Amino acid sequence: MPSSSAETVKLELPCLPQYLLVARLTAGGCGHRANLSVEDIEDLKVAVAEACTNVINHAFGADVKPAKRRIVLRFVAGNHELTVEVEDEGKGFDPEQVERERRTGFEGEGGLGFGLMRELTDSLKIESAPGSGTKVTMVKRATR
Amino acid sequence: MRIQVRSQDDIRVCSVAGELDAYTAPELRDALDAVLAEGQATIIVDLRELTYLDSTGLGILVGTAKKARHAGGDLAVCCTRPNLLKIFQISGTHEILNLQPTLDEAAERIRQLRDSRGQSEGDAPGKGS
Repeated sequence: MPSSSAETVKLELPCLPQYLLVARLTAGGCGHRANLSVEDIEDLKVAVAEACTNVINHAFGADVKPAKRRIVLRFVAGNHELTVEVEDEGKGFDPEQVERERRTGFEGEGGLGFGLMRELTDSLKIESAPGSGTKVTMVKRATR
Repeated sequence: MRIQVRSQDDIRVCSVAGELDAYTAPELRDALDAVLAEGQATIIVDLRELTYLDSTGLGILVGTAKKARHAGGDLAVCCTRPNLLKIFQISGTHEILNLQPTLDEAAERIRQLRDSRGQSEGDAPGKGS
């Protein structure tokens, strides 16, 4: 897993929309570190923000104390590629349902965000299950 | 994010500059809802000075376009930045938002839509007799 690299940047944010800018700026800086182009970095910023927005909008119920609602991001700069993990300990969901909605042409709430993440990165992996949080892993490779 | 609303002929032009995300989007939604509440349903959203857009902003633009159509008007979006155009293309929203590169072309697009709607209403059975 990318978490073991010395080039890992870990960022833990409050689950609040006013911190989306911090996530985007960090993605931009790490993308620059990974030698991604300006265009690649713009794509990456949207993908990372979409993952965080999904956490903000869907991961935690009102019964969870604000201090417990956190978004953890890990950025691992490689050789002309950047791996980003966006993780929460929220209520989770069934990733298969998102995929089914995509295949049938109906994208429910949050579906557009996953569509953008999929199109703007080179790899997207969603690990989640009801009650066990969510981890989204994206890889963005430099356009040569 | 900065929002300015002005009138151009019978069109309301809403210019948005800066970054449009889940934090700033409610401000744009309120501004566009206020325009619709005034009874103005013909709207151009000028995004030429917008530097960032994601699905939350897209959702507000599409929602406002539907409300404008329902109220008998139209919405067109003016945008030239490649990173934003890519988002419109990927999401498949460029047509419903009548995406145009300039204000003049956005206004012309709205006139075309209005004319074609008037024409089809005139062609409807029972009209004009």
